[in-house]
Amino acid sequence: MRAPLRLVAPWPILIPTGVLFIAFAGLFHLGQAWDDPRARTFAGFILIAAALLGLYRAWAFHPEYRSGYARWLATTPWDVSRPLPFGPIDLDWPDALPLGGLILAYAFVPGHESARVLGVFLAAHCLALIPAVWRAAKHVPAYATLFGLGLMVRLWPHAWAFAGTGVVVYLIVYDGLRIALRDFPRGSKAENLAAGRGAFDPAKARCGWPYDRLLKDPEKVPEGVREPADDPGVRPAAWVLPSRSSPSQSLLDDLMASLLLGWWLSCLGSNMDRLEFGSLLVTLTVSTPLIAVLIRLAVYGLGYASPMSVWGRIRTGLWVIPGYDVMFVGLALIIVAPVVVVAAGRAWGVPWSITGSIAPAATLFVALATPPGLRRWRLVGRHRMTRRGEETTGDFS
Amino acid sequence: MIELRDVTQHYGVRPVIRSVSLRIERGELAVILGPNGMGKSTLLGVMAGVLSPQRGSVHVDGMLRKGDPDEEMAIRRRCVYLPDDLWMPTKLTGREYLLAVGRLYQVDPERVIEHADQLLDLFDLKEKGNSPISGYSAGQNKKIGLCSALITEAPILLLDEPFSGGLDPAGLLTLRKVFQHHARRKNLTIVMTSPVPELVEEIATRIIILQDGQILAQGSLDDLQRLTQCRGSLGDVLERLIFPETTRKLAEYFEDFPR
Repeated sequence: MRAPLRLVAPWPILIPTGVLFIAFAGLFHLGQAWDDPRARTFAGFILIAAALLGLYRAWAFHPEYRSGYARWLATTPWDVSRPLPFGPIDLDWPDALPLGGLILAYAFVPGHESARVLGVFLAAHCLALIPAVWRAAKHVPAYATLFGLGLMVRLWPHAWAFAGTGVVVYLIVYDGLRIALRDFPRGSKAENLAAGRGAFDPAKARCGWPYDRLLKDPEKVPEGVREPADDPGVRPAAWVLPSRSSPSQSLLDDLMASLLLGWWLSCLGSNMDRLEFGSLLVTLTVSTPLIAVLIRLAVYGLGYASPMSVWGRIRTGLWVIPGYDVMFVGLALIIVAPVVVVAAGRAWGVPWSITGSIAPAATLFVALATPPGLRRWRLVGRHRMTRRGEETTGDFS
Repeated sequence: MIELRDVTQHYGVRPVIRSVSLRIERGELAVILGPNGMGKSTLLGVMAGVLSPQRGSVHVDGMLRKGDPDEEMAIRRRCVYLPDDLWMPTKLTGREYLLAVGRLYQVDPERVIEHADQLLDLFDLKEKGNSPISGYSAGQNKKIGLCSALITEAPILLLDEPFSGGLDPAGLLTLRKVFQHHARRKNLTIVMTSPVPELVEEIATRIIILQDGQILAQGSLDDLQRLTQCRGSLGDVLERLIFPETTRKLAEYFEDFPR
């Protein structure tokens, strides 16, 4: 009985902070100064405490975030059908105590809506669990949670709806968590299971850096030594050649990341002053393409120069080198995307707050998804490999 | 029963364990001895399934270690591995930790509670057992770690240097007697490493001496004494086996010493 209550919250921090809070709250009450704007500070303080508690509840109990725990657990007969030995990640009755304390403290705030504390706690808890769910390649619950968190932001002014959405989001992330834990431990266990059986295979033998890179068949290099790749033949090291996930998965991830940006912007905007939100959207619509162009230019251009200088192109009549100039198509599209979105929005009478949220999202999608992919560009792009920062002019001058 | 067949383990280019074959029967108390860096902990890690040997295989009670997920799970239920640097949940009390581990290994709840009390009493942790592990000394940490292995009541214990880590004389004595009893009377298979022969010569039913990743010799103390033609302690036998040159030079030096 005592153990679960003791473990669910960082009491050595929470109790002194709570005492300090109550002392301050008492002072305010004595001075009848609750109408003072400073009272908001206390409300914020409680909400921050609820968020930290939610984060703590995930980080302190999930083996994914505690390497020693994970290593130890991997040697035991634990599986997902049984509870975690040192406490559940999912919320349980002992969580009611610290959470109830915070809700009680929030009752001091004039015009309080206690459901908000619960919502903040759930939001932080779910947010902390997303990386663990994501790392287990459970993208659907991870994305669903992120969208749900955006909805929570949108519903912030309506405390009960905010908390209710928090409960739904928690159920989604909890489902993802169960699926993720079912596969625990991943990576090393899977590798060990594979490497431990059968006869000696020199191609699978881990020889340590740098010898593993010299193996004849890089496909058989143990995981963690190489980046996964599925092209046959000679290939550069991982830092030269990015790994490749399946094209559809990659495109889906790009799309979801962009949609999330748009969704979160729109949700943020619903709680902002119109003028503030307008200036934020203008800033983002202008700055996102510029930043995206610079990043894409750096990633694609540094070390991979044009095969011919501009003067060379003019002199030889090869004004366009498709295999290289395809890189500029992406850059151009990045610039064009927000312009098209804004123009279309105006033409179709879409509210500016929606158009303004879509524009940066569309820019991000174009920046992430426009071909050629980095891997293809570095493998088969018609560029001239140079050392980074080297003079990039060609021989034709 | 634990059986290693032609096991070779590399961390890098140099093999730490070379073609080791070994069979430890049920009820044996086997001690892996050898100088530092000779592969004692690695060999134990291979038996525990923490490491995957590049060559060879490990069988526990007839099941191939890391061969099949269901079999691996069955092996894990039967085997407890206690590394030298055991992770422990420092916020839990010693008692809570033992109860959690016991339940994880599916020991009957009433038996776990009773056994935890007995173990805490046995290792002089009765009072300390109710405080968080974060406040334990190094020796108390070691004791509670050992208790966690014992509370599982698993038939196979794999223990990396159980006698090191600041155990007091009472703890050392208790541990020796517990291991001896469990191996002889309860038919437990206990495999442990130790750099100090004096602590284990009394209890070991089999001594495995490793050098350069290979088994230099193995058998009971009598067997090793016969092999080295030395009637002395295990320490003397080890000297003959591992450092024969040093022993010979020392003998010559003492003979030649004038007074």
